[in-house]
Amino acid sequence: MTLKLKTMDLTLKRTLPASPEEVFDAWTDSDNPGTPFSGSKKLILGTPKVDSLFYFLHQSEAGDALPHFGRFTAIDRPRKIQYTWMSRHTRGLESTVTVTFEKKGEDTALTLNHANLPDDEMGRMHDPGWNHYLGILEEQVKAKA
Amino acid sequence: MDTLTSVLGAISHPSRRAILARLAAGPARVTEIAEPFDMSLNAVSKHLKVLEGAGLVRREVQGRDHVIEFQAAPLRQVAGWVHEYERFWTERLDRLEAHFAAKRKRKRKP
Repeated sequence: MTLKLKTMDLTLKRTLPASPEEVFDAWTDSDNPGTPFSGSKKLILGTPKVDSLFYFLHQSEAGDALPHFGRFTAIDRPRKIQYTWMSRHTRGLESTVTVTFEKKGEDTALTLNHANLPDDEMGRMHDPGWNHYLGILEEQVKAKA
Repeated sequence: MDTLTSVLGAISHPSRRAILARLAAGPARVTEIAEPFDMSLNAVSKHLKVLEGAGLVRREVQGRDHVIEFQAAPLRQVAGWVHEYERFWTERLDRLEAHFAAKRKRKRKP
């Protein structure tokens, strides 16, 4: 049986006021509040290297326990970090997270690409997502006014 | 007025966002909507008119009752669906940016 699943990619870009080395190191430092591994209920991370594994248990705002698993597929300090990512929202299939860090003067241009995400109602949010997104949009509009 | 402007205008007021949050749980009569708020029925009606104008709610007259129903389409038109992970990563990147901004500020303090 062939499992056909419509997928999508997400790309987010952000300029961070730090060097690529600092941002790269912070990305896998679970003590840093901005990393995907921080705030986990349970965490197994170790020192990331190609083919090493990670596991963390994230708790959603609604209180649901969301286990996440993955393996590192590229570690190139301070330019790139890549790993696979599996969770309920990926339907248990491997999605791929690629984060690149590019020096921009004193800052770092971070590009995050999350590929092979199921493009279905489980992955996509309704009201909470809209509220969050529109909250940001609204603040931006207000700031420009 | 275009959709974006009217929707953003409608959701710019915290009371109207609270009303929408209530209606997202299901349709309600005007009196039911007003109940949890410290607002006159008249004030709630004014807010509902703004939401109606933006197409965010629909009014159905049932005898003496006006039943208000949430309409999500204009929000979808403005924001599109947001992926669970778009929200997750945006939050994490916000925190990462705040962390480094605070760090740089501390470093540059004389």
